[in-house]
Amino acid sequence: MTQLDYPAWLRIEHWVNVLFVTLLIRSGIEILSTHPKLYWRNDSKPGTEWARLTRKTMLTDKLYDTLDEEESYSAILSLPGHKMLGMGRHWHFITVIGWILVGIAYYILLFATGQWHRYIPYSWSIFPQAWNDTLTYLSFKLPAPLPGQPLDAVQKLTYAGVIFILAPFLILTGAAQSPAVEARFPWYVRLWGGRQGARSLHFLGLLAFIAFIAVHLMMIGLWGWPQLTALMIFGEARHLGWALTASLVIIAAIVLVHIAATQWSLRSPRTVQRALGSVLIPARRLILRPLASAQHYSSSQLSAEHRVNGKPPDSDDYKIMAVHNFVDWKLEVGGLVENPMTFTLAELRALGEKQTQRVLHNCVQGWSSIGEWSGVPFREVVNMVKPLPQARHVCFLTMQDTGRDEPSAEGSGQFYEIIDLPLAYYPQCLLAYEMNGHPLPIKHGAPLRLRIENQVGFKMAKWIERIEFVSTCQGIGQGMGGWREDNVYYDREVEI
Amino acid sequence: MSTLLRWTGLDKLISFYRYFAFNGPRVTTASGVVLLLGVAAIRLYWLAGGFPLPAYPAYLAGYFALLAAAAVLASVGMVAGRRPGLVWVGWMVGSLVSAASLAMYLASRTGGLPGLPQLVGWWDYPLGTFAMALAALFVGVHVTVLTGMNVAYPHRRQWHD
Amino acid sequence: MGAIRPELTVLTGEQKHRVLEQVGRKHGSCRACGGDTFAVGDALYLGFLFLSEDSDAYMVALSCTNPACSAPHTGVRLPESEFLSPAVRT
Ligand SMILES: [Zn+2]
Repeated sequence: MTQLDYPAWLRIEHWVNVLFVTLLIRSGIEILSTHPKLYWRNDSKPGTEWARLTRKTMLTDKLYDTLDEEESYSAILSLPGHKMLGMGRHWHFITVIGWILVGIAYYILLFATGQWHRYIPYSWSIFPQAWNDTLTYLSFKLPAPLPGQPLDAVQKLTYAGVIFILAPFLILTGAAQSPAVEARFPWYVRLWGGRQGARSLHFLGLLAFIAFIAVHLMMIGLWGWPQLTALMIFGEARHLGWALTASLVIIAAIVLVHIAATQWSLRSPRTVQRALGSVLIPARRLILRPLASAQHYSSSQLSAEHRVNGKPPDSDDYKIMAVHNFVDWKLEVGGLVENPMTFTLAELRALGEKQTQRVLHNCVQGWSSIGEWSGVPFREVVNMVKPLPQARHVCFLTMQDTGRDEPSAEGSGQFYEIIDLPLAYYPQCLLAYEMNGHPLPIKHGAPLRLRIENQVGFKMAKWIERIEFVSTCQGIGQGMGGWREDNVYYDREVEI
Repeated sequence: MSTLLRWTGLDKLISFYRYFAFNGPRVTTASGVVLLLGVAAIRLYWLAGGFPLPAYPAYLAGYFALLAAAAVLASVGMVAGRRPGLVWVGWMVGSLVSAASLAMYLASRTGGLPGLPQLVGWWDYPLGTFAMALAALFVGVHVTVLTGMNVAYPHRRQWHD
Repeated sequence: MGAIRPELTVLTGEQKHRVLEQVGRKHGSCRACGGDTFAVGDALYLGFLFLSEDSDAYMVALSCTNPACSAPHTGVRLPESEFLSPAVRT
């Protein structure tokens, strides 16, 4: 049998894992802070949360949106803190890519070298042994390790649980929160009890991981910090003084990486967005982009109430248009097209056959709801205006002036979002003028909003007034691909 | 005092709990009841012959019986949903019972109890550690109820947002 | 056109009359042609949906009756008490 020692790869993996897991925890808390409420049901109905991690309460006589509910957590807890969801998402997703790669390498090496014996039990006798070990711990004593192995029975079972159950569980519940995965495989999100079930379980997994880390550190303290860190640094219990120093140096280095990532994100978020985006954008295009929506929820699953992220245009022009039921509203479609067109609402309604879809809506902040949307498939409009060959993206310009309408968000100016042209041809890419069988409500984007079911909500522009085909995002706003990308450093390609 | 807290930043640390609020009145009450009945069950087990010493003073038997009875009564109070005042008393008695059980156990292992010098320093006793853990957890759960982090049955959250 | 939007309130003849009274009192005129005769349409409650609006504010649809008007659709912002709630005649 393999000697269960501490080969170099295992030691390196361990410390890299410490870095990745702590980055994931802090950036995850940042993502949590943007909607610090947890639910079990897909509708995220206000008041039904089972946990609130916020001190804010909302008014009842005024429309509030989920940007108002956002919390600003300390940078000590969250990466980078201070309401920077965009940065938190970048760090969470870049780290999870690294974590999955390191994890795969770890699994392969464990099984290739026989080191899996240290974690995976192969006899039922481990359970009575683990019970005895538990009694020993309860006697304020340390049990003996299993013969020829580095861990006692409880430890062995715990590590097996963390490595082979908890870590995959966190990745799987994370994936269940991707709108692209949910859109393509609705059964998968149902498996976790729905979108909010997955989010709540992901949170409970975080708590389990934090508990594991706390006990792990306590155990190392009890069993002997210098000896155990020597094993995890030098591979054997020697140079204990040096091991103690080295362990502190390694931990300090990890802390420094955290401080650097935090400071970089707070001081120069644009460069973080560009640097991490250069990896994340292609990765998502490759892995998640092909997942087209195939959702058909039943009408009994529709949510009675939908939260909103973003407030309606607070202008007289808009209000007068609304009170006249948007008869004067016009949609201009132009830019790099052969045939620029203008549509009234009545013309859009008369265009082809009305398409209806009942789908799960994912807000970037983490809440969800199920709605029925009806309108004209965007591809029909695209086919009528005929994009020129150089058109690569579609820009949706809205009537929302964020500085005026959205005091809870940083930044100002006309709200716009850009999608890649290929998304326009996806079957459930819809210009929606109805919701749940009624004219699209004002708070949900009347008279017209976009639906792209494999992306998070902020990409689905509301209160649309103009659609422009463009060859590049440059020259539009800050050139990052949308108002949120420009102003609050959200990531593009939000299939997760 | 409060100035000192503010100056040291401890006030933020102490008020940190206000960022946590959970809506699980039945889970909260069920956990409290299970913990408290655990505290009672261990005393009854000791009373029924499970005590690790062959003989022990009669006052200890009386204490076990009293503690178990109080814990059971407190549990009943905690689930008396129609009378919120009784529920409050139930939790309070539960915490008193738990704190008393902790104090007695610690006293028996440190200063010693009359007629039980053998117990001093005898930490090597899993069931005793377990009993301490149950009692401490009960007090912990009750603190979360008192601070408003949790609500206990029959109270409910009136959240609108 | 589709159904009436959920946010709109249909006004009664009496309520429409009160709207016109208020427009007259405020010397309201058409933004496009300056005309001062209007047909009253539906009302939209602004207080909840729009950040800057008072909690009792409504927008009432007005259509300029001048046949030559280039932009006949306009509106008037009125508090609930001036046209919707039971009249307190002065
Ligand atoms: Zn006019």
